[in-house]
This record gives sequence, C-alpha cells and structure tokens, in this order.
Amino acid sequence: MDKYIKYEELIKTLQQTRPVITEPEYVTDQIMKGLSNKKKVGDNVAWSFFLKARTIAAMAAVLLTGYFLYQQWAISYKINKLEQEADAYQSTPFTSNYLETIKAKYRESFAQTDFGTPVTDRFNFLGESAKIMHDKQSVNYLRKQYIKLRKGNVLMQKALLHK
Amino acid sequence: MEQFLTDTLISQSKHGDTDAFRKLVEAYQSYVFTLSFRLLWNEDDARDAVQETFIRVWNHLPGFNSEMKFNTWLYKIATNICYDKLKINKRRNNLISLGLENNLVWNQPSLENIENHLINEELGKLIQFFTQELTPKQKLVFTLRDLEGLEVDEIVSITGLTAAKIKSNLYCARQFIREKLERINK
Repeated sequence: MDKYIKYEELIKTLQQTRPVITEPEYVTDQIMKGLSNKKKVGDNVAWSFFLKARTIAAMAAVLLTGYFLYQQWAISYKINKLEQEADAYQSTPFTSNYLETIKAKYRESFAQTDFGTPVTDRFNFLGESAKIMHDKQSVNYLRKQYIKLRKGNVLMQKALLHK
Repeated sequence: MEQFLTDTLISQSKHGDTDAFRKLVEAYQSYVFTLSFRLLWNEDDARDAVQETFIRVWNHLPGFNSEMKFNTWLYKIATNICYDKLKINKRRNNLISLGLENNLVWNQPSLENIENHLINEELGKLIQFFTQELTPKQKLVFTLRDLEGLEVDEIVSITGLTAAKIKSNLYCARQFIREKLERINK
C-alpha cells in the first residue's frame, strides 16, 4: 500500500514542490534588457498623442459623415417640397388650363343667355376681329380725310370772303 | 512584499523608474515562474513566459487600476501568455506527436522521494504526465485552483470565465487525474 497515491496527497506534494528558477538575476537582467529595447513609459508621449489624434480623427469622420447625411436629407426634403409646390401651382387659377376652363364656362353661359339672336350667329363676331380692326382703320382714315377736307373747305371759304 | 512597498514601487514604475520596476521583478518573478512552469511543464518556456509577462506589465503599467490587486493583475497577464502558449503547444503536439504518453515513463516514485528529489525537470514531467491530456482551459483552472490555491472569485477575475465554467472544468480535470491515478495504483 506504500505506493498507493491518493489525489489529495498528489496535489499536496505538487503544491509544496515549487519549481526553482535558475539564475534569477539573469532572468531579471533579460527582462530589463527587454524593457530598454521597448519604449519607456515616459517616452510614450508620441504614441499616446497618435492614439488621441486617431480617436479625434475617427470622431470627426463620424461627425462629418453624419453632417453630410443630414445635408443630403435636407436637400432631398427641400426638392420634394418644391415639387409639391410646383404640382400645387399647376392647379392654380393662373394656369392656362384653368383659363381655358373659364372660357369654356363663359361660352356655355353666353350660349344659354337669350340675346334675341340665333345661337349660331352669336359667335360670328368672335371670328371677325380682323375685319373689325380693318374697319376701324378705315374709319380712322375717313375721319382724317374729313378733317383735311374740312380744313380745305375753311381755307376756300376764307379766300372767297377776301375776294 | 508589503502592500505599501508594492504600491510605492508600482507608482514609481508608472513614472518610468526602471530601478523600482527591477525591484518589482525581483520580488514577483518567482511567483510568475511557478505559475508558468506548472502550466507549461518546461523551464525554458516558463522563463520566456516570465520575461513576456514583465515586459507586458511594464507596457501596460500606466493603465493599471490601483483598485485591483497587483498579484491578481500579474497572474492575469501571466495566465493569458501561458494560455496562448498552451494553445499553440496543443496544436503543435496534435500535429507532431500523437500518443506522447507512451513515450513518457513515470517511475512511480514514493511520495517521500518526490518531496526530496524532484527537480524542475522531474516536476515538469510529473505535471505533464497528469495534465497533458487536459484541455488548456481545464489545465488552467486546475493549476490556479488546486496548485496555486486561488479562490474561485480570483480565478474568475484572472481568466474571465464564469464560476460555473470554472467549476465544471475543474471537476473534469480532477476526475481525469483521479482516473489516471487509479490506473497507476492498479
């Protein structure tokens, strides 16, 4: 039974038997040598500055991206609003379609009103505007000729009187 | 080492005082070596782990939270380094030599002999013999709890594992070692 080893005994033995580090001074020196190859804590200013700069740059990138996205949204919102206003303008009383509608309504009401003339004759004058203009020019010409003749007549009368 | 002295040395080291840091290394390197050796079974690997640990400690000292125990923080760093090495070794062992157990012959020495004559190599072989087939996690938990005698809460903060996972891994490790002992005792 001497060789029978219990778990607890094994663990106890392993706990008590601590490995011994050989040449601890050499290990310490190697560690310190390793430190000098690396940058010292106090020399990490540049690195920490780089880290801070990187963080700030990352934050700025996020903010700019957010700002650009907001701008895109604002522009598309304004365009949509303008489109809606343009659509609304199409149906205002000032558009040609609306004027045509009014004209049609006027014609309709004009046709229904009794002016004592046949309905078919009532719109004849609408196509005769050019003729009216022509007549107007003729009247003006006649009026001018009349004034000229009248002046001539007055002169004639004065000449006769002086004779 | 007294807590006050440790705090002073840490504070000085934070400001780049290498002499203070050297004293810290001298005070704690044996603890780190023991833990590393128990995890890695090999003196050279353990020495490398000690060096890596203290260089990492130096580099991360400005960010050390004074509210945390220095021991725990040191163990945490050493454990991470050893755990990485264990994973690499495990992969390497799986690739290179399957059935390593057959090559290792433990001479079943008596407990008295173990206590009196075990040198690092023998101790390493002994630990390797019992723990080589454990997973890195099981090995880590077993070493910290049973060999280093740390409390579960401390192991939680060192390894980042939950208490439940620690207990289950520890149970598996203990069970495996018990079975191995049974085989030897037969």
